[in-house]
Amino acid sequence: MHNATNEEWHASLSLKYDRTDWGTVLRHKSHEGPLRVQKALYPEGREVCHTLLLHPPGGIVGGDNLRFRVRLEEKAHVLFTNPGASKWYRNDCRPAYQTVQLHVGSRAVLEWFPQETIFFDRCWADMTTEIELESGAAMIGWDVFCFGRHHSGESFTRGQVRSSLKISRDGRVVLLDRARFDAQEPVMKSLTGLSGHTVTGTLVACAETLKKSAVDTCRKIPVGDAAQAGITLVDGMFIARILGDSSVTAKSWFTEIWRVLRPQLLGRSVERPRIWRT
Amino acid sequence: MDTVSTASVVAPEYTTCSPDRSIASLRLLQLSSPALPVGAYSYSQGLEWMVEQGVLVDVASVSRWVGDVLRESMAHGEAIYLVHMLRAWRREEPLQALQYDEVFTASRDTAELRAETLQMGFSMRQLMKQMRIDIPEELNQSTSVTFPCAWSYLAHHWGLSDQEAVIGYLWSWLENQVMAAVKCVPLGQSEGQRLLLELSCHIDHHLDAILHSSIEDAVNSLPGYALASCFHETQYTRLFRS
Repeated sequence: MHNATNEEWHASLSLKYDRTDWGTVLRHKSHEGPLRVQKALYPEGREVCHTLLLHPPGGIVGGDNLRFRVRLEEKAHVLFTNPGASKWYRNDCRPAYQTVQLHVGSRAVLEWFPQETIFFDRCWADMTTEIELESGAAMIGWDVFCFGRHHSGESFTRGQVRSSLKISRDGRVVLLDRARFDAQEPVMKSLTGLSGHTVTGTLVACAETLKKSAVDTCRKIPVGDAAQAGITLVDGMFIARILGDSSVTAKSWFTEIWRVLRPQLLGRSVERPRIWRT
Repeated sequence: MDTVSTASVVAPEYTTCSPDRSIASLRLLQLSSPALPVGAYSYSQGLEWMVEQGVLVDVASVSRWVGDVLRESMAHGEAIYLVHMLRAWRREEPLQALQYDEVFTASRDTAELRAETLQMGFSMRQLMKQMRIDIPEELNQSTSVTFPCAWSYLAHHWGLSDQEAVIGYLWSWLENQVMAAVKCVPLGQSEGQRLLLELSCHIDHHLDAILHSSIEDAVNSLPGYALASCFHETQYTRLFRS
């Protein structure tokens, strides 16, 4: 919908899942503007709904405002991914926004695996993700950020990415990850920040069944391409971080971690979404 | 013995009524001193790992790393929380201060960084009780408290201004980082003093921005810093707890 008053393109998608005797059901779906569910699939049985999210314009331009609101009711289990990278195009200081709100009901399971997010040169981006976990809920999800288009030789010379991830459990904030990557600030080059690297990713998993031994196992997973990667366990949250120059490396390391964690967290082995193979 | 001596130093007539700024300056010195028994000396915040990696080898490399952490983690993050917590105590809004405390806790995104602030916050609260300082019931009851939250309460209690509090907090942090570098790089004592002379100017440089930032401006996500902290967890030989 084009909103003439502030000349911004708004798009929203609201989804609600229930767990019934049949399995996990996409009970309610509404959208405004170009955001869609491309498919809801059941490749590993009816308990787990694999949902493909689609933003048909293919990229996000200045003034865009994307909103996702997802509710998983008690015991629903949903895996989300998307068919390709999210591209935030050059917008020359006219910011674009994305807000994601994920509510995970009691003993429900959220798996949130977007493909990488690419910030083009001269893009101003503001991303907020809020995840609310009710008692006994479990989640695993990741984000991979790419600054500039490394493979096309385009660097991120101007622009700013603000991102905020907030996770709360039973109404209490348990993890906040708030970043401001400004192309012209020292954080892009400093050893505390990106050290001149172009790709950074974070994986977070949270479940009552998470064991300390999972950290030890995952620390043994090799990381390719001279990327730096580390894992910590804090207040019942497993956090893995990677810093390098390849989104493929980041995603494959995260996938290997998922392979270790999924059986422990969810009692299921990994079923890679078919869309990742195309 | 400890309790007796501190209690006699902090006689109520000197702590609460004096409008004289010299008392405030003395309180600021006490609050910022490495003698404050909260265990700060046992933490390096990833600096020890950077030394182990051979990245921090001399005054120049230490200056760069500590200057980066000062700007990106302290000035852009922790110090902003400190100021807002202090203002909340001053407005007598303990629940607001503890709300910032919850969010700040959540922003410490590795096991060691979170354990550090909670241990130091716990010790700071204990210390206030041993000094016979009345603390709000909400602070007393809170299951955990971070270091800036407990520290800012005492700063408020002793009537420090925002500026004094930020300077004192960052100075004691800086002194601790430099002492950690002196110990594990190692550096000479005079090299340590040169570093303090240089890096304290950074505190002055960041001060205005810290005092004028809203809580939403505070950031904490620093890949390199978080990775150093993660790697320190499994470092084979270590002197420090972070």
